[in-house]
Amino acid sequence: MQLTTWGYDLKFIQKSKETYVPCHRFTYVFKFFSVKSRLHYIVRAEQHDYDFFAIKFYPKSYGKSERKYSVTTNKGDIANVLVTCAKVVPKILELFPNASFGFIGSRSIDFISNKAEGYVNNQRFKIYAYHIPQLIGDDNFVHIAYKNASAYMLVNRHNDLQQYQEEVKTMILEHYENVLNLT
Amino acid sequence: MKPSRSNTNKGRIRPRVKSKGLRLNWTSLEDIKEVRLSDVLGDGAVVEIKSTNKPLLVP
Repeated sequence: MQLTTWGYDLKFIQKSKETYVPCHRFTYVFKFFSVKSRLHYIVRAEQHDYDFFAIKFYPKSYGKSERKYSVTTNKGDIANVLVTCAKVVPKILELFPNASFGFIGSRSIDFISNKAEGYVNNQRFKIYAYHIPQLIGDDNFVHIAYKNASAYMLVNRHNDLQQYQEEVKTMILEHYENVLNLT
Repeated sequence: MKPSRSNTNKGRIRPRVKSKGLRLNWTSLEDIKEVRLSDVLGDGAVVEIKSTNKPLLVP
């Protein structure tokens, strides 16, 4: 499906000092309102060492849930939500021209049958991997897909690809070893 | 004779739609095993993007 929407206005809320691991420096928090689904969304760009940003988003109403990244809303506004979340990338690039980005497709949970999706090539990852190239090209970034972990990385071309990839991988593995496990 | 008001089964019949977890044979939450990111991450694959691709946000 070719993206034809322009998403919603993304508003910057705050630069949060709240960190969870030593390599995590700040979090840039944004918000937007999905008109179609009538949901407010929070987008977080978590700045790490090496100017690596992890992008996360969730509906605001699930903010206090530990499983907020695994919830499926089924409201049918994925195109607008994805485009709006991806608007974080140019905003962060204005502040950090060398920034690289990464995200992981969370495992979905079916709360009706109490079952959870696997971590390999999950449905969120498939959607991201299909749509991100339509939003972000390869002039500025090298796109790397980690299918087995449902992860995707945009490495800024200002960096040496091999060296940067290794540095970030080492950092992530050191601090986020359990990221694929459901809490 | 008045027409019957209950000439529909709408309220009585439950839809026989299985939930997504059942349909796709997902794993039960109790049976999920722990996984270490280092065991599955691997080297990744560079995504080839078509030259005709016109990205909407960042070139």
